[in-house]
Amino acid sequence: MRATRGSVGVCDVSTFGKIEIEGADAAVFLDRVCANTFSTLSVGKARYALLLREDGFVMDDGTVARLAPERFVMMSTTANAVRTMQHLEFCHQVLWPTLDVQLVSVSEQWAQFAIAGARARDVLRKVIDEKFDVGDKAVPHLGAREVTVGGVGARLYRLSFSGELAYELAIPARYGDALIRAIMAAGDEFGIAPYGTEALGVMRIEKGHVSGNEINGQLTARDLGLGRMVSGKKDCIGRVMAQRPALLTDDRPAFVGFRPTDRKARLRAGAHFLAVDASNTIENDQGYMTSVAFSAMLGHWIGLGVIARGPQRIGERVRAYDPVRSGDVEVEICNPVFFDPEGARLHG
Amino acid sequence: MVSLAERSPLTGIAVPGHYGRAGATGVVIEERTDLAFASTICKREKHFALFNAINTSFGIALPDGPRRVTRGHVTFAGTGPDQWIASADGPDAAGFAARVRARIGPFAAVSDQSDARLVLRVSGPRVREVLAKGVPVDLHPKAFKPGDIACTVVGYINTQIDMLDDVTYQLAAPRSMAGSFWSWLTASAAEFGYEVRGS
Repeated sequence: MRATRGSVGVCDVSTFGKIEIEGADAAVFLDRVCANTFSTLSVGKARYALLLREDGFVMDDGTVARLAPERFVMMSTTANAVRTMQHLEFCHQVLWPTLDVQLVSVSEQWAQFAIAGARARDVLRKVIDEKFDVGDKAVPHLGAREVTVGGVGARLYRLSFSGELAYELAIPARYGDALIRAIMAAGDEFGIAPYGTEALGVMRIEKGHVSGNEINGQLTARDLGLGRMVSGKKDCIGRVMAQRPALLTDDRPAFVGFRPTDRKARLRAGAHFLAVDASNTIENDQGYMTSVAFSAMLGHWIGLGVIARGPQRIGERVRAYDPVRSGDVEVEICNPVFFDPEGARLHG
Repeated sequence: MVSLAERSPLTGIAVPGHYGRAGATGVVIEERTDLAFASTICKREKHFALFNAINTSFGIALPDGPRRVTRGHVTFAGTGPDQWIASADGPDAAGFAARVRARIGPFAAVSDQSDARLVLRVSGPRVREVLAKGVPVDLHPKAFKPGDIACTVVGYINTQIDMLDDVTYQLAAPRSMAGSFWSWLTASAAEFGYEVRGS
């Protein structure tokens, strides 16, 4: 993690779901299944995607890149790869069978590696065939383009979950083993380190990105601070049901960060929030911690979670009460973006 | 320029040789890494155009059910409503998906799946008994004949079974499940004795 934040790291993300979506109505289809808009996405660009369930709660997130005017690739989380494919097939076959859209999973076809850190572009320059420009202009933030590596067709996406300057490079799976060796060799001079999904998890918590712990089936886009991603200019699955009065109240759990008042204290996911002087009863429950990590960059534990009126309570102190593990830690409500809140590193 | 070596999904797992019951070879297993695959999904109301384009380009009459039709080195197999998987070997394998797309792109969504699958050819006198241990569909010659295919599961692993001729089946499973699939197949074949051939 220090290597990635300090120079460059590489993570195997081959397990992410990858679905190709093609057809004259592919953009219309995506506009209907995703909360945000894709018909306006330019060819060669990618965008974060948010999928809602019919009942308005968040179902999954991922990214969608537009490879051609009528051809997209959606990347979903590993855990929801099959479920997302089933959902899209259901939407096409049952809800809108007349749309001209074709769906196929290509998850098994592509090995994919995330290369993140300030030196990520330097590593890519040594791996991707020279005729392809990987500079900031040719491949801007959220850019997507087809390249070759050793003459083999590959896909390059500039996407970041870690908050660093980062790319994902996909190659047909038979070359996956060779590509990771090539990346490690190219990154050697920069001290490249392989990192796993646990480290990725810590970095995304440092950046306040929601993940499976937050997309838990009980929270809406509004709860997660992603309300602006739900486009008001078009309809989509879940848009109407997310407007039910009980989901729009002021005391809905709202997404924020937490840090221990005593910086040496350990945080635990699953702890519930109580007012500092409140008794430990269910009536006093204000919300819960969804994700925690020890931040090597900050030198203390950090947490993400939901609490009633969270964003209006920044700086307020509450208790993170965890009777299962005898935890009772005073925490301060804070901005969920702990590291590089300006996002400067993303643009390297 | 970086030079990338290919790796088979069974690297370090399948080693040529004779295994299982001594003195008998009930099944012969051969991995094929030289086949190219392309999923082909018909676009809306383009069925006739697609049928004609494939007939013109490849000399193949697209099957409308779970069957495979081969001409030369190219095969189209029906895998679902409006869906086929095209495959090629020999001189037609290189750049196959791009070539299929170039020929029929206006009428079908074509995606390269050449690296998505573990492909095994299994044959021998006991092959049907081995497959019967894991395959839920009826492979009796009355029900499943050369040219027939089935998209089914083996031990919860999605598997496409193609019957190529009277004694040979082609099995295709997701690449990432290659190790598990191999475990099932070799454990099932051991009592009859089996030979693993290098490709």
